[in-house]
Amino acid sequence: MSVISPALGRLRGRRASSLEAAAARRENYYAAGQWRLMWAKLSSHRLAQISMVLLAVLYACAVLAGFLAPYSLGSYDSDYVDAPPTMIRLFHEDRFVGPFVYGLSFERDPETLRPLFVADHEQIHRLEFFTQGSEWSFFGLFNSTLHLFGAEGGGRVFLFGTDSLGRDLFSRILMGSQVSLTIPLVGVAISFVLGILIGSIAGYFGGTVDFLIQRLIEILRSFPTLPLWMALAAAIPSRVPVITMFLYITVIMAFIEWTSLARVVRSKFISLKREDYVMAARVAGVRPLRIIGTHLVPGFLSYLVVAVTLAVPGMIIGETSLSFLGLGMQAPATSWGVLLQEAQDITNVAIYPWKLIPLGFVIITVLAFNFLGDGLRDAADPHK
Amino acid sequence: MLTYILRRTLMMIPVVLVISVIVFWIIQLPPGDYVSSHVMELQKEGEQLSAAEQDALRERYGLDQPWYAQYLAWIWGILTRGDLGYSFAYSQPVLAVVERYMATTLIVAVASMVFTYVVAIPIGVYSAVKQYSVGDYVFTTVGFLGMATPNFLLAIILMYLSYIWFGNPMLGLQSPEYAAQGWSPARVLDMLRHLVIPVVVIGTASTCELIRVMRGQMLDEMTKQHVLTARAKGVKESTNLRKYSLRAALNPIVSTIGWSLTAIFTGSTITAIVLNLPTQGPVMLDALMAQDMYLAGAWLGFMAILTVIGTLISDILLAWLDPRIRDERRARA
Amino acid sequence: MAIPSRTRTPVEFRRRTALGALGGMGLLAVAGCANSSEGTAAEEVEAINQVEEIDSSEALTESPMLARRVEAGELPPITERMPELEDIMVEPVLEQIGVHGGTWNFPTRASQEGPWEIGKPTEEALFRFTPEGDGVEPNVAKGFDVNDDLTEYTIHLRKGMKWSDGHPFTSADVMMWWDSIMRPEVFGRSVYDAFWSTDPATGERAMAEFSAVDDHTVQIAFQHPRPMFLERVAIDAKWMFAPAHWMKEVLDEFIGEEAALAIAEERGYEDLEGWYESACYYYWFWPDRPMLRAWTPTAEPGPEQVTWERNPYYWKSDPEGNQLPYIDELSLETYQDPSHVELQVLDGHFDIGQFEFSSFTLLQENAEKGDYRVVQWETADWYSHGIQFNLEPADQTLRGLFHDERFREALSVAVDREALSEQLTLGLGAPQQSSIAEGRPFHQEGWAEKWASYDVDRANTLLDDLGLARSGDWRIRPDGEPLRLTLTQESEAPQAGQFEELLKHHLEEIGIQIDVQLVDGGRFGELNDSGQLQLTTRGAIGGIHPIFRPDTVVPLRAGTPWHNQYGTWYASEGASGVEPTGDVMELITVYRDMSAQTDPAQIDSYAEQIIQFHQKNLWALGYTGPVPRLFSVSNNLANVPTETTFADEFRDLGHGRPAQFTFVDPEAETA
Repeated sequence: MSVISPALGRLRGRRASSLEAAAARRENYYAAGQWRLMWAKLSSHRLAQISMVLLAVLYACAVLAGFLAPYSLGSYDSDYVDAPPTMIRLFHEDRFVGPFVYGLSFERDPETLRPLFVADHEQIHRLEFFTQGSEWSFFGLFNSTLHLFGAEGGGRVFLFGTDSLGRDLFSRILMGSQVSLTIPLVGVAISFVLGILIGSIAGYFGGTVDFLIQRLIEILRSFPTLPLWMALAAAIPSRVPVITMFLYITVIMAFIEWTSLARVVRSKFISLKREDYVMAARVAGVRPLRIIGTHLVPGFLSYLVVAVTLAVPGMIIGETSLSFLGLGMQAPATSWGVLLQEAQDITNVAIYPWKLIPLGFVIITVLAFNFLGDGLRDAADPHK
Repeated sequence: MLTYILRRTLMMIPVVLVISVIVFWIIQLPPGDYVSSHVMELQKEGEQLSAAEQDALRERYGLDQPWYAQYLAWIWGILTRGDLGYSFAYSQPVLAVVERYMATTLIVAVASMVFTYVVAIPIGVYSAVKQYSVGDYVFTTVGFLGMATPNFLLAIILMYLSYIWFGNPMLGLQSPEYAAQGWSPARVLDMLRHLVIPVVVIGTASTCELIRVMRGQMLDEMTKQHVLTARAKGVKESTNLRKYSLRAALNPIVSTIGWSLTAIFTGSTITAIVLNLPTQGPVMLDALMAQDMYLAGAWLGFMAILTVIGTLISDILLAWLDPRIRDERRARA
Repeated sequence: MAIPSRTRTPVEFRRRTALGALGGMGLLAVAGCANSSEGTAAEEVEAINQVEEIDSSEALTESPMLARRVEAGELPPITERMPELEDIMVEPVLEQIGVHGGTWNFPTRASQEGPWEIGKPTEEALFRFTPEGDGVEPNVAKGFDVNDDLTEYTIHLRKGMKWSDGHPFTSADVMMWWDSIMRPEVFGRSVYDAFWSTDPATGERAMAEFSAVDDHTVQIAFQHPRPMFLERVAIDAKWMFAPAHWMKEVLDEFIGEEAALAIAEERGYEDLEGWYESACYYYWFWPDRPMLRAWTPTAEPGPEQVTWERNPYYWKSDPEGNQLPYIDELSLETYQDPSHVELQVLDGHFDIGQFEFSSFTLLQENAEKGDYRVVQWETADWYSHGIQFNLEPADQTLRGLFHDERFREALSVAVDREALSEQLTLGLGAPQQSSIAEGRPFHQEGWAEKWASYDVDRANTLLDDLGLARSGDWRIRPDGEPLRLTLTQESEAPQAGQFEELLKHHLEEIGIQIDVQLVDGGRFGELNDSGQLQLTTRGAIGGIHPIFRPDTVVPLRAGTPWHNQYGTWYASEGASGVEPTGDVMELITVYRDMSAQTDPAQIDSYAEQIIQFHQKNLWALGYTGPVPRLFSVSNNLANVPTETTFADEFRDLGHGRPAQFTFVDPEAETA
């Protein structure tokens, strides 16, 4: 600090500190690790940001599905089959009452047998928050009967309407997200590990090992997945708990996925193998596995992260295709794929279009993952 | 180069054989066989087959043999007589059934591929050049929408919309009036109209994929050192794009053409069912469900061969197009 | 969410039946209404149909399509193509005399060999079932005589009747079928039940003997009395003839095995059996095979479409002498998925479409736009949703439970039928027990209400009484394991999985673990044959009359899940399967007695006994009453019955006599 004058010293100090700060920031940038750089760039990519937030919300909802859903998977309400989404109102006869629903009477059109729901303005069922309802379990750790909201008395609040068995679509979408959002992650994780492992071995060692692995990949890729799925479906015993079914589906999908990842890893390896720093390590006598792990893999890890993020949508769609072919979750468990397969009907598309709402969820999730992946890729791009 | 191609082609054969064995094994894996499916079908018609009659049928079809015996007999037939086996369900040689559906399958597949490449490449380039522009966002979103919607649902929605808006659900590949007639310009036009929905549905997924890859590749190439240098030197932007970026970006695209055909063949099964296309997809699915072994085996074997050929072509093209390898060869020569 | 215990009384059934009547379920009630409002129209049609024979050849009129060909010299004139005047079959018209012309667009499943669905509607049996379904009437045959002790049947054919290629139809065609096709079992079926008579004393069976008395008379002789012969022919064999002139060129008996094999290969078959099954049984794919049907194929089936054209030699006319059929052409078009048919019916393209009841709302709402009407045909099933118990499962404990009627009652009252009705049948399927409806033959009082209330308390009490104590969520079997049942259904069945899911929900409430198993057809057949099924929701039992097709109610052969093992035992004469006891055995005994009766009243009384055993035991439980089969009929198409019975015995759509379907305005019909 200067001695000349305290005021002058303070002024100089402030300027110095902002200059120092700028210098410090530049230092940080140059010295920053790979991941911090990526994060910084990612934060400026708006779509990726939105996607991240969206996905966080979706996953949070999936975790809390039992609590957020007003009805359980086992509630069949035969008095409200094929009901359109319930209107939540705030005003009753121009008076503010708070969120409520009217009671609904159920009849069928005598000519077409279409379900008709008429709101009875005499019956008011308020929405209660943190209400008691059916029992749900938090991943087997503890049970609870607390729900975020529900209609009091005999009221029904079907936010997204019901299906032909009288089940609440909103609840089913929430419960289904538990399966549809986690299967892709688990599947991608499996293929990630397999892909890196096998791909790097092939790429690094080359020669016969590479040749054999390539042929193996070829066989697996040309493998017609359809009969495999069907044969497996026939082989799976009937009383299979939801978790096991879940695992089977994941394994089936990962089984094929890892090959594309392995191919990519392999080609990256082949090009990186010739880099100087790798040569140096080999000359220095570093063991191959260490070279792979410490020097090669980090070189394209960012690329892999991107590839993995972009593989998730494929898995989501894959799960819906499996459900279409009848190889999805067994009732009463559900997934988005099962919901879509149930919607696959002209009657639903034409007359009960709210049953297509799960499609919106699938689309949004896939888009979110894609934009996130795009953002990650741009962020990982060293040339920017 | 030539030796490389020769070697790879020779390697193809054992790979295909292994695949065919596994495929055959898997087809007969589910319990039951064609006769049991057939009996259930007959029951729906009010017919009954006694146990003795069923056994006689099994013997006739050779289904009482162990699966490897059936497989060997089949392979032997293919190699010596070119006989792909017999389809129980159609009561015809497999070859006849395959021929029946081959033409339409090819038409749909080729049309989808053409659509994919013709649409995807220009859009990909545009998106890369005008990155983050409105156009880029719009194309990306629309493309992703198509990719995010499962085929079967997309198909049924489009069919229904076609019915609502145009009064005609556009099912199948041809309006019935033209089916029995000979070829005429009107008939071709009708077929083109019917091809719109299938091509859109089948093509969108691969189109989006391709757009994204194209865009990514172009972006990579456009920021490479040699491009920046050229730009600094004052080379025109369009030449820059064409000569340097585009060519290089096209490499991996071109090399995956081999894959696309297979992908379209296999991926179109579900769509074909929903859209009532007379292509091999639904035929194969039915054959699988009914365990019509030789028909299913022949189609699946065919697709496996296509995939392997696809890989081969991709690898050859990659090796050929990569200038480093090309120069290596020239240097050697 | 636990369902509170509720008890429903049968009073509410009245409401359902009333609603059901609107849908055409109460046959008598609605039929009465129709008559009174369209009194004059009905009278007119009756007057038209009084004509039973064509008097003069002047009256014979052919379709312009054929008239052109006659003029060009390609076809002989109509008088030479149709049978002799008094032998022409006059087909009554349902609503109006029709107009020649038009193309009927008909959907067929993109199946394997070709358009299966057209088989039944265009079938021409020797004798066919009457519209009321109470017996048979002559069709291809002109009439019959039978001696008093029912051992000799004389069948009269029509003079001058010809095959579709112009060749005369004579008794030689019947003899050819019997001698060279049926008896040597050339097409993969054993000699049908109809052609056996049973010794009432020993139970031994003897085959019939055919002989041709002259060109147009055939005699069939039995060693023992053979009642219901023609009815059984109508059910089993349907037709009893084959084109002799064509068969002589094809059967190995006449041309030698080598030549026959060559033909088989040409046609695309590997061996003779496959080819003969196609040539003799599923023969309607071959354009060159002579037939007696109203339309014949013009080409082999293509992947998307095939056209059938009117048969110039068709031997029926309407009461005014117009040669049938009215419709000139059929365009059979393939589809992959039922939604295609729905869409194209909405579009007005298919003239008649057949649907499950679940499509009712969609069809009704678009009827005006698509210019069609929805027509409901009753089925002969006793329920639309129900379960069958495999009475001989592998597990002996379960066998004991299934045979105990308290267990079956528990499973019956534990399910909320009203809810199921809303969820599965749009509220139309009555929430009642598996039973025969009021107004139909053999209806039993109280049957529909038996075990049909929704009483979870009672279900629990019954299961407690059986010693199935509850421990935690599940009831425990005597061997200490939780009680667990497998419920099997075919994955291809309409609404597959939905009903089973609801059943699982209800039954798990009373402590029974349910595994739902959806398998493909082949696998289901295997499970069924090997006796591995426990509960199944596939198919429904019922039938028009036990004497016609007793398969689902009497164990005579394998196939129906509840009695599969017993039926196997009977069909193999004790060689395999399980011998039935108690009431199930009684069913067989009564059936045997019934088959030996010659007096229709006696037959009915034995049939009623069979039905009463079912009422007493309820080996299959029904949860929702039968729902009609739906047809969409273009408004341009007339003479299609609005209400009648849909059954395989009656050949499905064929029961409506498609030959007299007519377009009101054939010109308006585009292809």
